Amino acid sequence: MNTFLLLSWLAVIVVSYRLSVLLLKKIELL
Amino acid sequence: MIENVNPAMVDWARAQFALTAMYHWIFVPLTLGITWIIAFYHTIYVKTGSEEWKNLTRFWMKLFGINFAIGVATGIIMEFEFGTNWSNYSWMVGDIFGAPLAIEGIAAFFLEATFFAVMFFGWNRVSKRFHLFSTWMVAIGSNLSAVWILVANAWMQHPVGQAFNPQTARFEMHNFADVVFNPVAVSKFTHTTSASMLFAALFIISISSYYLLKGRHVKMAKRSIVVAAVIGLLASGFVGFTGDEAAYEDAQHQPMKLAAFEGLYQGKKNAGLVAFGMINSGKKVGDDQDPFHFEIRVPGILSMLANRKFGSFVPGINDLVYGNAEQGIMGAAEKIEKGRVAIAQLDAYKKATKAGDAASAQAALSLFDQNREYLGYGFLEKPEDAVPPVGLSFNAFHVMVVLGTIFPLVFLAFLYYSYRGTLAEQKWLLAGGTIMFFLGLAAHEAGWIVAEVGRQPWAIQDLLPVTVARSNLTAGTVQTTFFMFLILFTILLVAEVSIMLKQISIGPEEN
Repeated sequence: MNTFLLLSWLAVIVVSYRLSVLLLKKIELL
Repeated sequence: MIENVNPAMVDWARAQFALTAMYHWIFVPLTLGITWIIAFYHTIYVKTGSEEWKNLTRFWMKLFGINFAIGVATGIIMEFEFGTNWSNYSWMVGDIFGAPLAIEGIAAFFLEATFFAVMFFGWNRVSKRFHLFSTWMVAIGSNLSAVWILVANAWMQHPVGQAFNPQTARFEMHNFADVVFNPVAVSKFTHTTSASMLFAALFIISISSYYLLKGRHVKMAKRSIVVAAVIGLLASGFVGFTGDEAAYEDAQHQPMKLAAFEGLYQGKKNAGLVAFGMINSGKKVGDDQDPFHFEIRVPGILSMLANRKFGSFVPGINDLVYGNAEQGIMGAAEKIEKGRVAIAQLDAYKKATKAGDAASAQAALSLFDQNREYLGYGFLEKPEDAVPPVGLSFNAFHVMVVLGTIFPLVFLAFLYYSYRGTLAEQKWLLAGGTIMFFLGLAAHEAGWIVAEVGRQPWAIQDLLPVTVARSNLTAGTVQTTFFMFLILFTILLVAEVSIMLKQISIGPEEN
């Protein structure tokens, strides 16, 4: 469970960045 | 030992620590969360080379810098309080508790502070790539700081990897890895830092909403909101998931805490979670008053949270205080008896050792070993002392959960209107957005109360009550420093808020 929690935590950071960039491009703010 | 306890001193020492921690807790979550979001903004700037993204990054960095400086000041005072007000605690567990705090200071905080200087003052002085690297290192360093602080805190909630040395009457570390990978520590770290991302996202949304309402820095505000709302939305889902894990850990290691969160006096199978209710704060353990003025429970959910199984038995406060033979739960009354045996045998062991009576020393040690896990209970006067303040724990827990349910909806609304391109026209949402920071702060402070008030009366769960952990000071001494700190922290807070408001009013640089 420890490993799963820590990897999910890292995924929140990485996915947030990727999703932000995608959305910014989609709505032409980037 | 217990005869010398001055309850007024303990209460003032607890109040002082709570005051320091709650002020500290205004600044720290913002630091932990906003460093990631600033690293995102900075990365976008370096990738695009756009001056607008540079100005946006610098603006949020400036607000973070103000917040960081004051957070450090309150944190240092808190560490000193372990020595001044909780010297018995520091003496008894310093071998274990000191290690993560030392690593935090030497490795994580220095890493964070060094790169903070490069991040803050490195514009046009170092290469773009090294500057960006520094920003990411500030985010990693500040979250590594949180790792060690939360490892220390988790050890107090679930003291693993230690053994009590009867010769020195101190707790000593036996397995460092057990302390670091304590499941409570991992659940605390992931829950606290993801809640901090959520809080920082609300901070950015509040200020950006204000700009949109005023029609100032519109493009910068819209961009800031998109990134903040995305991390806020993902983090809020993860906060719920890790919150569930934290409740499970509480049920396994601190069942009294979970019972207090839910105002559950009588344990039951298929226990329900209170969806809505008003707790009767006047109720005492063992009296026949109703615990709630009114309540609506969702059946089975508390059993699921506690044991991952609908229909399972969740012990209530009465079961844990008076015992429940049917469920095999030993009550606090019996634990107190065993704890007193442990204390008496420890004393006998010391006397026999001093007298050179090896046989008596061995006999005392053997009896002590049989009862050592209840050592802390021996310091409690009566079984009811094992119960934390139920009303405060219940209210704080439910404020945290209700707000935690609202936040993802807020992030979704901001993302939806950003996607539609009509965010600036949604005055109602932007007006609500400006106060979101305060709701985030309320949720965070409630979370701190849940974790720390809920574990009372223990400084270290089952092993050391706060009444024994304190220093030998008079109540008046602690009272004086309480008010000194109250004034100092209030001045610091007013200073921070005024500097921030000034910077917000100036806004980011425009090209």
